[in-house]
Amino acid sequence: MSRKYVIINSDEVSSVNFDQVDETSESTLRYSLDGSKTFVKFDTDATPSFLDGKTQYSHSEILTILATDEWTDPNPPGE
Amino acid sequence: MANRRISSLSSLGGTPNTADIIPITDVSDTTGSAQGTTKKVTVANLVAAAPQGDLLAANNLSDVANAGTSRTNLGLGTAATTASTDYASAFYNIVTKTTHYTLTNAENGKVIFCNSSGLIDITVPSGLTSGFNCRVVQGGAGRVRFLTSGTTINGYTSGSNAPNAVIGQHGVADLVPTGTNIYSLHGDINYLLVYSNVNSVNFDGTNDYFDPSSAISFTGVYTLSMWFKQTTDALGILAFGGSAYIEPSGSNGRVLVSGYSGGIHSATNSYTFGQWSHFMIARNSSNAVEAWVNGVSAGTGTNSGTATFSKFGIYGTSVQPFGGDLDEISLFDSDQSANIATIYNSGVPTDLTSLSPVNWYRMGDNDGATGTTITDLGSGSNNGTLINGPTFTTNVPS
Repeated sequence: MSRKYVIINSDEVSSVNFDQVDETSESTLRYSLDGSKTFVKFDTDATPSFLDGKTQYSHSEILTILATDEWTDPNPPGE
Repeated sequence: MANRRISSLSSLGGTPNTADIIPITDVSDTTGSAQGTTKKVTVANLVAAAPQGDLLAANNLSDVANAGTSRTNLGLGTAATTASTDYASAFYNIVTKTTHYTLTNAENGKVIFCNSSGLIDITVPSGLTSGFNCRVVQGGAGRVRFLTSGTTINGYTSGSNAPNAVIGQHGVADLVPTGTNIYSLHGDINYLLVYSNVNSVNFDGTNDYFDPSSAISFTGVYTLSMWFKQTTDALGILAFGGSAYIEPSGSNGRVLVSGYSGGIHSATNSYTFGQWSHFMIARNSSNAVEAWVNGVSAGTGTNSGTATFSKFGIYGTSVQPFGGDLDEISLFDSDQSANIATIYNSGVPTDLTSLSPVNWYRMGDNDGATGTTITDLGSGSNNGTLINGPTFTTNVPS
């Protein structure tokens, strides 16, 4: 079993069952910089039904995606 | 000599002559010429017939076939092995201990007098005789801790990262049985937390963070100490509050302290990506701020006003969260700069109790490494929550 990550559109958040994902609540989700996307993760082998048909990413894959300008400020504070 | 009445005879002196006799007449004998048969009883006959000898004379315990068994059966222990009147060793109720000790049935009903300037562990093992009880006294300056081994002491736990029952100098505690291998303690009991660090929390670098129930703020002096092991991204956030943040950069091993200090930037390679490191920042009463990475000063700055630490591991939505492990996050409403060597402890977290932290998050060690709550062991009682699925790990600084 390994943790899986799925990107969803922001307007799909209402369909998320937070008992089936690791995210604590809607208010703790991380969104893309333009606010159009977010993601959830789950540890079980069984994919939550509301995520059926969506692309699943591994940890290293989602880190690569989240490091892009779409998700992370290219000019972060300090560095 | 003419017959005389017995009442007319003169009395004997203090000691009869051994040749003196006492006549005994068997009045049932009617066969003789004179009714009754008369015999004599000498003084020697009487001495031979009477019980004689005191406890330690010829016919006493020392003459029995197995004197040791006799003494044991009589509960005399090692007493009465000689003609002595000192039986104290058989009934002596106090035994002295100066080092760690595991109770045995020999201590049943006795007083365990501990005498040491250091810690003495008294272990209560399973299998002691039914009804076993004892009293423990500490005469020395050290503490006496009660440990269990296959037993239960009601209301107390035993071991690391748990409240152990202890007594201090001049303390007295009674160990009383309440069931099979179950005991209660009564007396001058205190708690002792035995420090051990075996857990930390892993943050996956995507959206995990640690969120104290209330933001932690200081208007005057303060200190933040924490351990981190950055593994999944070149940047990350250790702590955040208001517009201030602490950001380690794994690409060059530098830590930026922004907002809390006026801008401290540690030297290149002050920490190593993928390895445990320690960070500490302290503000003194003159608003001078200093930061340390792995016990080495990373620079100084100035900062006044309220310093807030509201989250650990995340800054906001636009900055990569921290990826890696965090451990032993502690905050003080005091300037601990003089104790940096003690806190860093050559790279191994140590017990901070004596430094009186306001907030002390053990990151799993006192929460059984389960659930999402991180209990605050400091005086602030400001528990926190692991947000978005951080996981406990046994990877710790060592």
